[in-house]
Amino acid sequence: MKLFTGKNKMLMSNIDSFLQLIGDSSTYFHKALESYLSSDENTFTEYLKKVSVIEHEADELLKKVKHDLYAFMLIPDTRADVFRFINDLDNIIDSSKQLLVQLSIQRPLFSPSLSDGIISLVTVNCESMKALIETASVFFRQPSLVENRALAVIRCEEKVDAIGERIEREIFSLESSYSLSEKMQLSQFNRQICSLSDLAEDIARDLIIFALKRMV
Amino acid sequence: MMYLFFLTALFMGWSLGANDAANVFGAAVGTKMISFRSAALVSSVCVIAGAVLLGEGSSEGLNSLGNIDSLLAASIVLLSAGITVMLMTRLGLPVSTSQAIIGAIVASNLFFHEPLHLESVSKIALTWVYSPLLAFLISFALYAAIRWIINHMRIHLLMIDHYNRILLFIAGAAGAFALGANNIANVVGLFIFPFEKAQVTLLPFFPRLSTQLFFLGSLAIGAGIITFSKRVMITMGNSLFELYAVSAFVVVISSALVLLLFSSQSLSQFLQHRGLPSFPLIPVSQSQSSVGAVLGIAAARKGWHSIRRGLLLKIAAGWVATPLGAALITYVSFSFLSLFIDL
Repeated sequence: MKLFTGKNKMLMSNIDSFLQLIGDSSTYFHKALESYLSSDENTFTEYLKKVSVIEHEADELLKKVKHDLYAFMLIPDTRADVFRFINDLDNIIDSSKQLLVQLSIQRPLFSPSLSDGIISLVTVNCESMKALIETASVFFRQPSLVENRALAVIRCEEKVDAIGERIEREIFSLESSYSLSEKMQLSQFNRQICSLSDLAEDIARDLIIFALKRMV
Repeated sequence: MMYLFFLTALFMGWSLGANDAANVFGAAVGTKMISFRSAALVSSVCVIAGAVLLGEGSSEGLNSLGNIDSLLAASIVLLSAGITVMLMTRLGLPVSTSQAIIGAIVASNLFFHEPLHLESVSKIALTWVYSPLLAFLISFALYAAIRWIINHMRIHLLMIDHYNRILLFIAGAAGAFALGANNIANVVGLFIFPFEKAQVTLLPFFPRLSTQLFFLGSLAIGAGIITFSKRVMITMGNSLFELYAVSAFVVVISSALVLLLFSSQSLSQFLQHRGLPSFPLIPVSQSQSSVGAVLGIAAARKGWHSIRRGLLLKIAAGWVATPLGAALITYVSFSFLSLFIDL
């Protein structure tokens, strides 16, 4: 009988570790971009490696969570929702890593004024991730608070949208030393950073619905 | 010959085990919380314990309607009740074996011009209203209490799931015990008087004949659980548990408590000694208690207005249609048989 084996506790710990990894990856992503924009090649590579390791660890944890949820038939009425948002959180780590890898390959040149904009964009992005992790945590313990916490994520996304648009306009009003292809490249990176907050917002909105479903 | 007639009781027991055990362990098995094997073993043991330890009260209550002293008559009554249950199930009514048996006993009394204990009949009919109503009140209060705990104690979703699994296991065992205690009367209750009259001993290691019959009847229920309840458990478990994990526990424990209230002689005596109104000891419907409990949860979740009148009407229709149908089938059966044999 699998009644007293404590699978629930193990899964609880795996989910907490997974959320911790999301927080860490967001911090490292922020630091990696800072070092890239300040042309600190070694630090950038170091943080890229850290994000890659986290991405791998998160994939492993995701596999374990999925296995435990379905193999031990845990939380039958909410497991589909839990697995969905954890899977979506994993996509954020994957996208962050991909973005850093592309930066290391393409090496786009950001002007100093654009760099400031990108730093503030990533800072708000980081706040958004912290708010998202808190939303996910309260989903498990106090679903009545999810909506309140999710609103913080949504507000961050609105800020990111505004900053992203400002950067976009700045990119295409740059002097003629930037070719159109370079501007398109910068714009693409800008949009990719903004899309991380969009992902966070989508997850937060899903969490509001999932929390309503799980309120008894 | 008498043992051949007793086969009808064993068949009724087998059928009860195959169908009603799903109400108590369906949620646990459907979610694979425990294997069917463990559930079948635990529920069979608990059914036997309930029947042997507490089966006396509801059997006496059933026989208060009038003793059927012929084994043939007892078999006809049981068969008619069984056919009624089968027909009503096809019509989709939350049917009760207890109600069918009571209707059949009344028809038997009328056919044989035996005195009809109207006081007992009305007392029993009232339990049909009491049992779902009590289940409704218990589940309403229990669900509201659990909701308060979950919403205020900041318990992790996975720990709620963990506690719920343990509680479902306990509720399943209690439900099986209550099923044995309360519904064993439907299986062998009618055979106590004819067997006592014939002065037979079936199992010498039990001093009382009624206990011997309860043991054999509960073995038949256990056989029903082991041989035929798996699919019903899985179907029921999935439909009930997939949506509301906590609700499954509330439904099972509420209906188990109701069945125990209508079975326990000790509780009845306790209330009587204190001048309080006691519950009549009579077999009541587990299915209807479960429906009452589900309605209690609906009221606690979404308010009184959420209760579907259609469902209430369906239960009320069962209260009338089941005993009347069983009475009609019994009376016709006796009339037909009396053309060929001297009853």
